[in-house]
Amino acid sequence: MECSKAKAILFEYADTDIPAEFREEVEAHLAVCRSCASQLEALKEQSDALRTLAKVEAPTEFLGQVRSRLEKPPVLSRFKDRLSVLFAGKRFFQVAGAAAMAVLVMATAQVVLRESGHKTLLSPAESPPPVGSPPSVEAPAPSPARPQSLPEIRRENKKALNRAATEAKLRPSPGIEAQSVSLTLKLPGASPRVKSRGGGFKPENMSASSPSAGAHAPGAGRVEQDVSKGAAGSSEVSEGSPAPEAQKIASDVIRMIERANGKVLSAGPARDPNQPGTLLAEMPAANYHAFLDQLRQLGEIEFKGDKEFSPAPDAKVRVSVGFATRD
Amino acid sequence: MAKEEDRTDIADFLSGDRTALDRLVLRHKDRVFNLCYRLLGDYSEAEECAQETFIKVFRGLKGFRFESSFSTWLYTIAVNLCRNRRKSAEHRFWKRVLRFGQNSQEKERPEDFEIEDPAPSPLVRMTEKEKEIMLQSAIDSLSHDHRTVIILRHVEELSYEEISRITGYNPGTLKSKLARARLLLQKRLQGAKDR
Repeated sequence: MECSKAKAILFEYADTDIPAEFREEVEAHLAVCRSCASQLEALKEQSDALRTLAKVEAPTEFLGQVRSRLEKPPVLSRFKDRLSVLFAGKRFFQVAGAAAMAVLVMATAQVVLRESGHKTLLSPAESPPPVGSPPSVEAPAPSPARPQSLPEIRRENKKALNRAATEAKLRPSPGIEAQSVSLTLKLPGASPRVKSRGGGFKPENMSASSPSAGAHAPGAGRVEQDVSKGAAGSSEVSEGSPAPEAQKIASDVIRMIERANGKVLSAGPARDPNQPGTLLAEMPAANYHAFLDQLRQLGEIEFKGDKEFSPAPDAKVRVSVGFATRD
Repeated sequence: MAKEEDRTDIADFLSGDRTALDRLVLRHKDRVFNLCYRLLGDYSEAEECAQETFIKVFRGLKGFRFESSFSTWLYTIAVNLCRNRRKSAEHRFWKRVLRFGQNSQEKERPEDFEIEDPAPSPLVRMTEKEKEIMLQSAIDSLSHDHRTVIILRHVEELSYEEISRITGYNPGTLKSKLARARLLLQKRLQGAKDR
């Protein structure tokens, strides 16, 4: 047997019972090889040294310590007990669960309400725009600081409408091409009554028996009140804002546009405080003539372009409604 | 004989006899403690680990199926607890500080079963106390796997079959690991003597 082979099984020879034929071969080799014999000797010494290592005994109090540790509940159950004491059983979790549910419901309701409020702003059909503030066409860009007083709201709305009007002029309606018509609504000769600081009335431009009186929406009076409240103590008609009667007329026209399934694209500034600013609206051509009939109840219509304008039934009509006083 | 006693005591313990616990602990505590001490090389840690072994065993005694002997089960738990303890950050720190006779350049060659220096073992000329300190330090310097097999085989004198059950190694792997462990131990002892 060669040295390499003998050394490979020397550990097993020293430690376990190897088959007899191998044992004889190893022993024959060890008898002639001093190196392998020394190695075996070292292994045996090592085994003896390990076997005779002192057996370390457990301390005398070992049993008592094990017993006392066993009597203690496990860490996990101790933790559970502490938690249950801390949270007074299930009640804490019930209250916490109810609170979490309440918060969730409130948050959901908040989101839903905000969502519906957003839609209301976008859709005039659901909630009529107040008289005195131009109708919104598109949702105004969110401003970081929301205006608080009525004049501020008006200024903000005007800015938004001007922006929208510019965009509407630049951007044609997608799909069907809109045909444009411009008309002037000549209102009866009397100017609207304007409240003075002392509660009196300024000379009227519009008679009380105006045909528009019957067409007022329920919200118009409310908005009038809002206007008077907002400007209490000062002149009721601020510079550049139309008088309440003019606002009422504008409100009526807007409602007519809505009834004709149209939408107001922009409301121009009022040059004359007794008259509303020019309204730009878009509506289906099918409702155009019905809209004109309703408009005639307010006053005489004067077309700027082709009077015999008859749009295609599936087209859209963009109508610019100006206001003037009939002489 | 001990196996039968263990079986009886376990049955008694499970039926509510608290003295059966005492008997089991007293029968096995010294061997478990010695194993923990040799694996960890620290008296207080060995005490903690041995206690933990018994706690774990008695808490899981209901699930014991007698597929192996009670002592084998005890040893398995003790070996695992000692390994986990040595893995802890604190122990890694002490191991770094107190590493004995281990050259970082030294690499284990898996196929090398030769003792390069067949000079007489340094253990021959030492007193018992010196021998024990040197041996324990050399054992501590081995990896957990090598330390475990060498202690179970040559200190606790368990059979290959029992060691296989405790460590999960098949007999071939076990023999190979044991041979490697003894070779490394011899080198560490030689290195300690030369310093």
